[in-house]
Amino acid sequence: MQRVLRALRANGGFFFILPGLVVYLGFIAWPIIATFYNGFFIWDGISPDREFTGLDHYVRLLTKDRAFRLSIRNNVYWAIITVVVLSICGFLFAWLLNQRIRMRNAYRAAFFLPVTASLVVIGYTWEFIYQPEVGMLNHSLRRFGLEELTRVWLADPDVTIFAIILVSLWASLGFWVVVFLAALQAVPQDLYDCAAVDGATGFRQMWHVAVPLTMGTTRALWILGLIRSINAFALVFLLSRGGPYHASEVIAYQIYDLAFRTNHTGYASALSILLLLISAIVTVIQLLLMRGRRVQL
Amino acid sequence: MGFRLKLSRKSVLTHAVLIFVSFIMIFPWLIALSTGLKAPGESALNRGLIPWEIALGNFPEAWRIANVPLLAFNSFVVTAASVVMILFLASLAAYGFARLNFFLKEPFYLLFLAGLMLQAAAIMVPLYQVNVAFGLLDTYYALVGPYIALGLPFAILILRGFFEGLPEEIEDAALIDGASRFTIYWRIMLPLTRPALATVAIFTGLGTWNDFLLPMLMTSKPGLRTMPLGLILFELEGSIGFVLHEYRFALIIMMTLPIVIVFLLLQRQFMSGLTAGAIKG
Repeated sequence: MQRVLRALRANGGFFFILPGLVVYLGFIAWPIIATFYNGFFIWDGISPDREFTGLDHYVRLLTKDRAFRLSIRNNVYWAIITVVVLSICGFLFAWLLNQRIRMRNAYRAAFFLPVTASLVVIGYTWEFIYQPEVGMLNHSLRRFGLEELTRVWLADPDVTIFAIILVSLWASLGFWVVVFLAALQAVPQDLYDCAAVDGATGFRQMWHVAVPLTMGTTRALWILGLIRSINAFALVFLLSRGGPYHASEVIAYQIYDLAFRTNHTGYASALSILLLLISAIVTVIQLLLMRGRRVQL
Repeated sequence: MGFRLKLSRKSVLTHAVLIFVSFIMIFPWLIALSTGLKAPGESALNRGLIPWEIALGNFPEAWRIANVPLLAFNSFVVTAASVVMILFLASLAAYGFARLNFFLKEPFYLLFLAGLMLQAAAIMVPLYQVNVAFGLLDTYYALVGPYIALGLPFAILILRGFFEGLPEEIEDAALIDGASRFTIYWRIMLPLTRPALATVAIFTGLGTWNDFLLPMLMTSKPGLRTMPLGLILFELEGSIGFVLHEYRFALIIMMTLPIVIVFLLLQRQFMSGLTAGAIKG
């Protein structure tokens, strides 16, 4: 009986994954390989003839391209600010929401609404807030007598990238809060009670009980936050188009600009491969750091 | 009686912080709402939140300029087709990974999982080139194909975990009766997977509905515009070469409100789905 069942259970299942695999390989894996190949050519993306240039694109990217260096810098800002601010704020707000308080669902909905909206909607709304003359931000600053703090938020080389990152924080805070909240709700109440018996109150319960026990979720959020920061595109496209003078450009925007506006498809292909490599390296490092470090309940 | 009204100093502080942050989170939406309700041109003069008069005429005007029924139809077709195909292909593959054995099973699984780190923005050049190669530009397929491929990794991850959590004994009776593996998957396992399918549908559906990058790159025909792309191109559609802020925000309200309502109705399912996804992911 057992043997019959085992034999029936073990039959080949390759045909079950085949349809998905075909779509996945056709639309993602194969094109990425083709892009890797295209990265070795000077090519405008349309014409049949193209010139082999070997590793020149990569050499130029890593040694000469000023816009690429600015992009990397901006992506690093984006990643660090995202992970630090959203880890701390996301966890703290989730901690507050995890107490028995009234209006909890209303607060949670307020945090989470931007996560459900299209970035196009978010981008236009914030562009309107940031407008130098009629925008609500400068208007409010003037009204509170903070005239010297007003900026041309989306066209100031020192400020623009941070103004965009701020929008990104606003848009993703709700996601982090809700995920942290779920992780906190999975921590058994007894552990807090034990800590309370040992004399730990509020902050120390959070630091010594809640933080270590939610570390698995925290690390998963870090990976996700880093991947999204490295691949940030939409808000830069919507708010500043990378300007002024590349000051707020990020890698994905540079790829868009090169491939679809100036037709440097070969160069953009090399840059795409570099971006994928960076994503892969960050993911692998994070996964290695995670290995065996998770606190088990 | 007085028990409910009693607030400790700690909970006053908690509420103060949460109200302040909620205010920051809500305020941009209030600006969008108030601008969409102002009379055309008013926002340049009236910077306050309260419109001088409620100009409901903005909505039919924006509806007409942007051709909202067409945008909604296209977004619906693309999203529905992508979600249905992702659910079908991913559940099929997830069942194979969870219950069946075949050569190189785990390497294939890893190949799919590697896709979790792919974002459309990083591979826009490959996605565009593959659509050129297949001759799909300016068709629904140019959007649906990449959306399916990009959605599969997350869906397979969630669904494999869910299938593995179901007891194997459920299938034994059917196996002894000679049911094929596909029949078991389709008739017995798939109906049991509904909660996980709902999670996947909500997340991939939301992402597809809101995306503007692929429609922007892959389509140029006005007849294929989706909602987010319609909003981006709205600028160019007015009779004087640009449209007024008030019309744009009226369109934004019309785009956002349905999603907000659906979200508020499905809030519980949304949150539990998110939790399952995030913790397993």
